[in-house]
Amino acid sequence: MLRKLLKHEFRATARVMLPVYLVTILLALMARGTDFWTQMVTMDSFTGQNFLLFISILIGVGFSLALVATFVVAVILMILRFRSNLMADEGYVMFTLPVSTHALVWSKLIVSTVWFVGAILIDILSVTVLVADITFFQEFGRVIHEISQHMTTYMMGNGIAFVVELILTFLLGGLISCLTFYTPLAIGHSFSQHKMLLSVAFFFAIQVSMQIISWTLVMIGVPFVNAFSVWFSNATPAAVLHGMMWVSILTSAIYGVVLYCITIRMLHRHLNLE
Amino acid sequence: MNILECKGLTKRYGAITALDKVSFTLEPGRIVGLLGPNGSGKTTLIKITNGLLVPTEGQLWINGQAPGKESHAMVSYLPERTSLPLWMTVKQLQDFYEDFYADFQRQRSSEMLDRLEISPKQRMRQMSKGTREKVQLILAMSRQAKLYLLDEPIGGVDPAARDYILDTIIRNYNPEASVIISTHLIADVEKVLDEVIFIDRGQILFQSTVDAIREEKGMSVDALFREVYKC
Amino acid sequence: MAWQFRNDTPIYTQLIAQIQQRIVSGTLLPGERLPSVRDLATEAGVNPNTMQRAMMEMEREELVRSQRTAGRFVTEDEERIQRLRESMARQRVKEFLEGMHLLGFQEDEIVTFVQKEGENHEHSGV
Repeated sequence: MLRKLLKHEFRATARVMLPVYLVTILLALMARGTDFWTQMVTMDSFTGQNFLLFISILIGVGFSLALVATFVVAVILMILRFRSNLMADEGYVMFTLPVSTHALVWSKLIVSTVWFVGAILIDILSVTVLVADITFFQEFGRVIHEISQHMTTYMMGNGIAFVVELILTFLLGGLISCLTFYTPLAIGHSFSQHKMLLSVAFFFAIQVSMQIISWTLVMIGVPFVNAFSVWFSNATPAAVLHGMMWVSILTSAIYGVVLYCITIRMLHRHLNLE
Repeated sequence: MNILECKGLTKRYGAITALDKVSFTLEPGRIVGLLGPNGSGKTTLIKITNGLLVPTEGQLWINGQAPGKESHAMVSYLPERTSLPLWMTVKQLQDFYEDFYADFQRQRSSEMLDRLEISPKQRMRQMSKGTREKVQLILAMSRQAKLYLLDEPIGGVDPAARDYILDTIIRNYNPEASVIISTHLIADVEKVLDEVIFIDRGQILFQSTVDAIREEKGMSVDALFREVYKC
Repeated sequence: MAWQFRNDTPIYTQLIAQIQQRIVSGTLLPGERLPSVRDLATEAGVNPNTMQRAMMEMEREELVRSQRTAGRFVTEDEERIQRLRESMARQRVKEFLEGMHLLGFQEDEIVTFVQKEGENHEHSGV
């Protein structure tokens, strides 16, 4: 059933995200085009040149905004989908489907994360479209070649591990940024009045308590710093890097699990649709 | 097996008791009116049956199952509010129902939609409130469910729409399934009901058949309702 | 003929009375096949179980008979229909007489009154 929920969720969100992606790519192409005109076309009239300049600035600004918008829209959509599809009237339909609450939440988490990743890829692609020329690709090929030349078994192992760690960090980051909003929304909407106001209040309450908890943990950790520094001084730079990555992955995973459990519990036991 | 069985169902919101030790059973093949004034606990009871609320105390079983995804597969629910996503077309909604409900009969829904001249390409957003309600009813009644829970299906609709709704309910009657219609407009639904359950301030006053009430009291259920809930 | 219901008596008895009316008046012919319970219920706008109950009652009274696969039919027994017509007429007369008594008519007054009204009825050509 998760598969069907994902299909439905993609259907519901793609009608917003795909046009945003498309506009970003189009603006990149247009920005590239204006670049081309300003270099190649020699305008006789002064006003003509000014006009071209104006257009190219406009497109440039539009493109910069679009780069940010891919993320902003993805985040706003993530919040709105959770609110309108689960916490408002549509919740009557969604929560009476023969699916588990876990599947409902995961379908939202996965789809939002996919759009975040998509936003990264689209931004990379569109910047590439903007700047790429023959030298860019030559340079790119040279870097790849150099990397492969320096590649040893040791470096390769670390490289792959590092990429895995990086991907994990990104994905976890995506999931957690969703849960950061889902949890307060789920708590706020369990009240019968002032649902949105309370959601915002709980958002900040969770942020503040997380700060307090993390500072407390750091304080508790201080006495053990000596033990760590011994390990640090003996470890290779790569090991230190991996160690730090995994500590960050694990702590954010724990944070994510806590938020997830609270969200599920609220939806399961304290759902309060209007 | 009973289609629905409630035992000591209680729901409290802080100091307010919305349902107070409600117990009753429902056999298959019945069309039952859940009757009571606004705020009597009808919607709370229906929401608990759908798993949208968790009871403070007590238990209930739908065809032997506690509320959850297994029971959702057997229950067709028409909420009081139109809750279908507005961006979806009728066809997309049919796809949606077909995807999630194994008992959804697409053909039947298409026939009913055709009769009302609702095009599959139409979006919910483009429809009037009344048409949206009809689409939702058609989708709910096109399922071959064990239990239909219709929360105020005739509240605020015109007489023609009301007749259409009642007609649809009778037409889709199935001896293995039961229908619960919650309403405060009894005169309109009385003829289609087997049984009525009177509920007030979270408590069941009584459960009886329509003809037994008429036979014993010599009055319609509507008249009895007015007498029982006299202010 | 449209189905109409009063509020003070059970619906199934009203269904029986209205179907009987149709049989007696010939709207439903002897031996005619009846629509299915579901269709009848839809047409009358009543609960199918109530319609079923009315049908069972009429079967018991041998006004309709059901054949396992073919459906339900109006009885072909003309004598049975005649008896129904008479019992319905008797009921009407009884109600009529009760009403007339309430208006203060004596038996012989009622007879003369009915005769006079009957002639007027014929003369007016209705």
